[in-house]
Amino acid sequence: MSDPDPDGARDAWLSEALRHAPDSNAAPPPTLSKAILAEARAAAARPTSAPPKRAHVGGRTLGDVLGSWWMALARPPIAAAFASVMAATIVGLMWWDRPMDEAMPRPSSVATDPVAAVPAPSVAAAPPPAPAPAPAPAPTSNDRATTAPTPSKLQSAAPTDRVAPAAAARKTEAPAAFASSDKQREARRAGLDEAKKDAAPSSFAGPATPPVRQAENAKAAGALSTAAPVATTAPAETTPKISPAAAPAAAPVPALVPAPATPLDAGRLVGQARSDAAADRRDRAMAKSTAPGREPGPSGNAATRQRPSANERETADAFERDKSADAAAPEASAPRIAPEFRSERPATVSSPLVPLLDAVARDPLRWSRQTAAGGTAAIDPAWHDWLADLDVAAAGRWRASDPRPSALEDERHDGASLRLFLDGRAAAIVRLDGQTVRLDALLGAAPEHWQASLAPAAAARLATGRAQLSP
Amino acid sequence: MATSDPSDDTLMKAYAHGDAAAFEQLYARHQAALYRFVRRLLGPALSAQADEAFQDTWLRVVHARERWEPQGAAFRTWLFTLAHHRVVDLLRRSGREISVDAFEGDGDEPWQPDAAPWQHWPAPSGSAPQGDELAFWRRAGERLLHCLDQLPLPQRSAFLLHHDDGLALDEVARALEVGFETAKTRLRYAMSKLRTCMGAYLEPLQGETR
Repeated sequence: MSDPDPDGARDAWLSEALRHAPDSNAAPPPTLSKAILAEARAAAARPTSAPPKRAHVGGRTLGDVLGSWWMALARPPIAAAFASVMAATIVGLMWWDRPMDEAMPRPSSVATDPVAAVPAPSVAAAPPPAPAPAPAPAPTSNDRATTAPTPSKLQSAAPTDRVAPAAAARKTEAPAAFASSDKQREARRAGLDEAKKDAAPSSFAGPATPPVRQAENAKAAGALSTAAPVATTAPAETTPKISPAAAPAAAPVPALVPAPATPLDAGRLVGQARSDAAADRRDRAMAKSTAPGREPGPSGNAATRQRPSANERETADAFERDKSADAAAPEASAPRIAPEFRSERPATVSSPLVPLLDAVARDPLRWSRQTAAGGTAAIDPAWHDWLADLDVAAAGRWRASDPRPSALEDERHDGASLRLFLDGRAAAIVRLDGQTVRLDALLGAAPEHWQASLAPAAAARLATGRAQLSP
Repeated sequence: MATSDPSDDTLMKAYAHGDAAAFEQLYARHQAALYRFVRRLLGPALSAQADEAFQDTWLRVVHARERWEPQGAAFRTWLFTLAHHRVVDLLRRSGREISVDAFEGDGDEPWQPDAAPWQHWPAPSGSAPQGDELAFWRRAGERLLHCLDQLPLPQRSAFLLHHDDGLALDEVARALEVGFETAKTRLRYAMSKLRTCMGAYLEPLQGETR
């Protein structure tokens, strides 16, 4: 019988059957055998290639060692580790000798840099745009150091605990170029208020105009901070405690002053207000407030800071003269705008009108106004300038107001309201009623309403200018 | 193999040093068994490729003569290992599924056939049978080839190496590059299946052989 245990034992029956299988005598074809043998002979006849001298490492050849190493490295964990190291090396080489983002100077740091906030003398060296009968001497660095405390000093002197974090963040985000523009604008407004100091509730004399200006801003900002969703941080938070001696140097502070909340969202008014035309029109209005012979560059501002009293009064007088002349020829003052003014744009809106003005200047073809006859007409430059003047006069005085139920209907043809349309849709209503100016921003999901009380002189001037405009 | 004849390893070394006659001796010694092994392993469906596998196996020996070193395995074992690899390549190339799992039994133990049919088989004499007995074994051989074709390749390889080529079980394991127990199990399953297949077929011949 067969042994069922195959361990070493063979089944005799199966072996016998296998031995008698039909192919038990099968043999390779003779030709195949000849070919194999011929190949074997040919291989043997060939000179035996000297067996490669194999390097032995501990009884193994070098190839074996390298092969084992390669196999070890080919394992997924080892390969992944090598890949990670290689990737890190490549990234490291790419960043070699390059500063990290955190270490690179940010534009905001330039804005907050006390030195950068002060107009550089090189800016004063820009070609003067117009003949300056009484060019203001450009301040030297020593002058600035002695007469104008740096913003950092102001910050240190101010109660910093009262500065909102958001304002601080905005301070750091303001580019230096915008800071310079804000300074000039603030200085110009300071000059305007000085000219109308009858409305300034301040005991400060001429040199103290900037603190007065900022005190007003603080008041308005305080109101806005409670009413507006985006409340402005009082820009005068640092200035009320500034001594009169240091007050003139507060002019550069606007670079650090955050923008007040705006009722007209820039996004709702055809994007960001960043067009050159907008800056040009604003700056034109700003130039009106500067003395004709005064260099509107940063050096002029520095000069104003050096002699605040005389210059501010001169600025106010010149502003009035310029306004009267400009009413007859609105474009006459345009060439006096310094080139640097044209290139500078505000980093943040300083009044609710700023986005509106920018949007109009950016895409004037889409904007129109309602005429006295009830029709629509394009917003010509004269109207834009008037709005810019209104923006200057009402700057810092804006506060949120309650909507008037009949705001859209009762002011259509009374001559005191200016209705602005964007693509045929009512976008804003600007109403100058006595010393009160109202702004109804109608675009967006929720219309916003703002109100400002103007100085009597400014209100009268604006009313006069408006009457001279095309109906 | 006569004791005076040089061993396979000796002949292979001689051939590695350029002695073509040594290879001829090796070829003459193993060509028939290797050819049968390749032919039976491929089965009747791929018997036409037996020559190719056979030639490739020997050519591998020729080309590997300088690198060949006896490393515990006999030349014969190495030769059949090369042939087995070549057959597996051909089977894969032909699209046949190569079952890695050689344990296709229903349970842990392979099914054992009824011993009754085996009791009526003629006892293998070892010498050349004559007459009806020869006819019986020839028919048994035919049936065995048919049964072999039904075995999985691993079991077929183990059985052929063990029963036809005379390799010991450890040599079978080494030739198939598996463990000893694996080779043993494969052989057990192969023998069990072959017995079942052969017993069912040979039972009607009992009367003729008596």
